Amino acid sequence: MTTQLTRREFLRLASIAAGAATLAACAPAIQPTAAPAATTAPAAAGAAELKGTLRVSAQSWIIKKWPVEDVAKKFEAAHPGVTVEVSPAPSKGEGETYLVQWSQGRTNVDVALGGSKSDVAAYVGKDLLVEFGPGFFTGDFARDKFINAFLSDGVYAGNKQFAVPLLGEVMYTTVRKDWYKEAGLLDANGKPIPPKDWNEWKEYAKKLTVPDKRNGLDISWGTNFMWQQYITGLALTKGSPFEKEGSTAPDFSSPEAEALLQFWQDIVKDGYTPTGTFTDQNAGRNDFKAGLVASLVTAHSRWPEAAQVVGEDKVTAMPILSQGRTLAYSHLVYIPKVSPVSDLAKAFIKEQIFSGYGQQWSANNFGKLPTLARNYTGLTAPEYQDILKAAAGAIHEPGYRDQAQLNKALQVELEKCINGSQTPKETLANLRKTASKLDLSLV
Amino acid sequence: MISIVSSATETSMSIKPARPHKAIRKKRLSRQRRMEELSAYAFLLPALLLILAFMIYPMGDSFYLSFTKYNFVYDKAPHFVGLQTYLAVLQDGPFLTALKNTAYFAAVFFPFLIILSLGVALLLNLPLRGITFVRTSVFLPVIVSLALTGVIFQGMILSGRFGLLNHILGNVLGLKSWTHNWLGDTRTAMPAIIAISLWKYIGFEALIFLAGLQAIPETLYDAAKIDGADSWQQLIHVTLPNLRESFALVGIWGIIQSVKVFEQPFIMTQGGPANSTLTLYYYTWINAFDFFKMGAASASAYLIAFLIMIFSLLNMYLTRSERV
Repeated sequence: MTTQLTRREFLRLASIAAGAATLAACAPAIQPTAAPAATTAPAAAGAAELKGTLRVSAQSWIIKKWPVEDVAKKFEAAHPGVTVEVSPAPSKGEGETYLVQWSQGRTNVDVALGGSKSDVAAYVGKDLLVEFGPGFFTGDFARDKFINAFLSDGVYAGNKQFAVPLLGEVMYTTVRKDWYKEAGLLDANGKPIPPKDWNEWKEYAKKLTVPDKRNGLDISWGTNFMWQQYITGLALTKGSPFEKEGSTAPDFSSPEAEALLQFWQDIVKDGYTPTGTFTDQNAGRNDFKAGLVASLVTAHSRWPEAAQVVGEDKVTAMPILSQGRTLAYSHLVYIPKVSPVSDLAKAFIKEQIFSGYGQQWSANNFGKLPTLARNYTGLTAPEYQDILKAAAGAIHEPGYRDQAQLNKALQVELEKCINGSQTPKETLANLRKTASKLDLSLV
Repeated sequence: MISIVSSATETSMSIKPARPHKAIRKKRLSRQRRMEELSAYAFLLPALLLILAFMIYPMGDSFYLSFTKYNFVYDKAPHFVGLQTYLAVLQDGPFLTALKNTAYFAAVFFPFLIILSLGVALLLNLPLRGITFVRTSVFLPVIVSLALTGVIFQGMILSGRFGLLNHILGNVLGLKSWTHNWLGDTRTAMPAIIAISLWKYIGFEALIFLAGLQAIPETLYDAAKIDGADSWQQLIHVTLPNLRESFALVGIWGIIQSVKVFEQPFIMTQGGPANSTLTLYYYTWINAFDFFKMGAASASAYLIAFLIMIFSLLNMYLTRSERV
């Protein structure tokens, strides 16, 4: 016997079904944290007690240049009760997914890999991250076991550690040894001689430039590096990126700042340096690998990357200037407060992120610096020791509340200056004016 | 009610039972109509709920935000400041730069879009051999995603060092002095973006014009020929007046594309060099997702919507006045 629905019943059912479907469609796409059924023991406890599902996200370039998937498997093998899921994270510029998610008390990630000090500052500002307290830094992971230059990047206002370093970078110069030799810029041991100041760099760039064939010097001036280039330039010549001693305001007025901008303007005007990185962040490294530039000022890890393409005997690294401090910075690891498995996440960081395997693999293949001193054993390239020495004396990136606005203003004004449409003096005056309207207190 | 009852009484004795039946049918009909209306609303309900949740509510919320000062990261809640947000946005240097750049983009892109797509449509309307293949080729850029278009043009075609355009200019045509860092120069970055946008959108506009052209009755042309009109006169006096509807449609679509340009500078230039390709949409995006200034971002979004509305009304008025 069949039961027929009346029209009224059909309409009622249809309305309920439609309403339910709509409500389901309105539900968040990313499910809340309840899924991983987390039962974990503190990191300090016995390894066998760890259980649960750990969701690790990493920016796509990190998945390629750091063995995230390998260490996930190692962690699972060491702890049979644990499952690790690795997924790509949104990169900078793809919208602040985490900020929205974590603010609403939801997360689809327990450990996030990737982001500079200023990128992570937004999460710190909104109080969304787990603090790595003194209990974390004990035994083999005591603070003095780390390369301080990288560890301190995760320290924010109030001297609180909200992130730890995955890998480190130092602002350096990647050079073509064969062309430096032709130009007589190698010492008796075959090492490139770093220039003493900007004027000598101009001479270097002139000697190394072959018109219509290659440029002597390329500087990464893309949106991802302009701020770093500027404060590195200041640190090299005056030891600090700040206005004056005791201040944390950026320097837009010193003679050193003006000299730096004059140097940048001159090398472009004279045809020694291209400006392709203004709109293509990868233009400098691509040009270097294609043999179109002799020197590239950027993160030190471009050196092994280029050596793989150009040849190890032809490429090396040298300090930007023979004296002065450079900039060291880290790509950070952090745990959202809304993660239900923060202890498991900390255990994963200690066992795998800080492991010799992962850190040395990344250094050997992509030149990314280990963040623990003990992981430098086995890195044989002589450049590492010099870079490590530079990192030890390096400055760190200050993270301002309005950092993003400062970066944008800096990009616009410096591009105008480098292109020659305004003088260094005018550029600095414009930057001072913009800075006066921003909140430049440290995060 | 009375009439229905009396009709029913009459029906039982009358030979012609038409009236009472009509009344009952009318009652049934009105019930049926009500049920049909209800079922129409039931079917509309999911769409209405979605529109409410994903369009009306966000629009209302962002309209409120546009009158507030609210940094999503550092402020606990939006702080109502009235029109101050709008005034601050209108006085912001980068907003004025973005407005100027968007006006420049629109002023060049819009007329070229209309003229070139009409030209292409006229060409595609000719009874030539292999025209179907040409039509497909012209439409092809429309189905390529704008993000991919940006990546291809930035990395493979317009790149200063490795680009195909510079290779053709310098190595094939021997015009070395013409080679250029197209996207890296403040003078050529925006024209390059306009050219890419035209390549991307002409196919779609041409298709609308083509549909309009094919709807014009052949008899009008026959009559014009009998009256001695040459090809040019046929175009001016027959084709163009009969494309009014297409012009209205293409016009509104073109205005929207002109004002809401975003993906091209986002992917190819990040608004640079030196803000020379910063557009209104990009300005809004930067305020919302780089600076987290939701009040300013909402205000500038409403200013853009206001601009689009003004130009669309103007377009509607112009096409309407021609019709009268």
